[in-house]
Amino acid sequence: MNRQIRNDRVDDLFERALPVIHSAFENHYRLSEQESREAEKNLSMWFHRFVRRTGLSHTSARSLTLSLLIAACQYARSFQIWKHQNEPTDEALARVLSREPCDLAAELAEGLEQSS
Amino acid sequence: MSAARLALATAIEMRASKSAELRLEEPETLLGACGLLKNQLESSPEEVLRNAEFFYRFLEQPRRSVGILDEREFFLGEMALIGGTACRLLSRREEARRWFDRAEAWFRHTLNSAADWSRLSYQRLALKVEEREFDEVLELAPLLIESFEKLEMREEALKCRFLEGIVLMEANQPTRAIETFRRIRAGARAMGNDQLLGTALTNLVQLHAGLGEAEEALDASRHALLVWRRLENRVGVAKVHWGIGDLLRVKGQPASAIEAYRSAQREFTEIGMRGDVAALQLVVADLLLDLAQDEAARREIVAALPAIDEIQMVPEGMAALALLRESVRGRRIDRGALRELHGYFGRTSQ
Repeated sequence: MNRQIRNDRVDDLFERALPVIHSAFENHYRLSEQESREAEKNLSMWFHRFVRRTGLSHTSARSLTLSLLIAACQYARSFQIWKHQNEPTDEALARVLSREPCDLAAELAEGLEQSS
Repeated sequence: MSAARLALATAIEMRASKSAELRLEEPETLLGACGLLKNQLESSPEEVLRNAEFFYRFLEQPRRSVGILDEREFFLGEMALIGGTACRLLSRREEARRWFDRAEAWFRHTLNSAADWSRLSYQRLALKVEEREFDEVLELAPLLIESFEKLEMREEALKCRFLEGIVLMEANQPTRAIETFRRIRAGARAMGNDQLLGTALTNLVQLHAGLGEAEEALDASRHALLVWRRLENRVGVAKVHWGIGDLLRVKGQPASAIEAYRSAQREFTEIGMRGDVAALQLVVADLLLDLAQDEAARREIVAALPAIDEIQMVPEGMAALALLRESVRGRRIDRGALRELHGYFGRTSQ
């Protein structure tokens, strides 16, 4: 697959997952609108590089999407833990931050599959 | 890609001081460098090792901020894996193991650690093939193939089948090995993977040569050389010459076989693959004995011994080496030890 086609495919995957990512950032992880946009921009760059790692050239869209969602949850979780280091968080956020990112990502992936 | 090429074109001793200008901490540069180094592994493993070590040390200390999420850990693991693979190709096995341990430690923290560890497991298995731990390889290879298939890494699964094929070759089961490599050839063609195709063809050359099947061997060698020249892969070309040498030897043409082996030796020498050069010296020595050129045979063995000493030989090989060394001193070469010793040099694919 040539680089341009692959980039297009990666953009498609990202765009398809973006509403779920945005919702997870704002509703689960309580990032602000601005923080979410910044995170999504970083995540997009990371994802484009991620799919170019060795061994991923034949990976299915489903697996790549799951990896993207795990990355999104890890990013948001790390961000909030760093931001709230010495500040109390509300109970709901504390519960989300105590969850493993891959667990939440798996739920999000299932939801995304069911909706498509 | 151009930032990566520029970084690699800059002398190693100058790179750290120019790190900002060369963008050495940027993920795009590092990703490009990983790709370029992997492509050069078979043609210049020494240089790849030096570069991989540079990037590894540069990223490790002081702790640098590289990209986001798991990118620092990934590049550290990847450079360690590349360094270890280069060491393996250079027969520097203890060093390879240390690099693989480093890769394992970093890949623990990557997002795709299952896939990264599986790739590392492949290199460790390849090392076991070279150390002739055949039973272990035949036990573990199917498990690793299954992992790769679950992870949708079809190319890696096929490479793992190579290890099975190579073990079958080394364990003197040519018919089963031919069957395995024909399967791999078909899979590689279907994926459009020239590297795997070239390696399958090269192994088929050797197998058919060993059975004296000249037509099949020459047919495979013609296709293999086309592929390797297209890829500019000198190790591949050298290995095909080696296979042609095997065919000529089986056909009872020792002088022509020696010529073919010398072609292979020249390529390996230029690449720095001393283990393969030494292995061929032993094979040539054996043929020279057939030609009653005992003194020339002795010189070949004496020339091979220093390189063999440097390679970490498995214990069974050490016994053959000791016998051979003793026989050379006594000026009457122990052919049994000679043949046994050159059997301990594997010709594994990457």
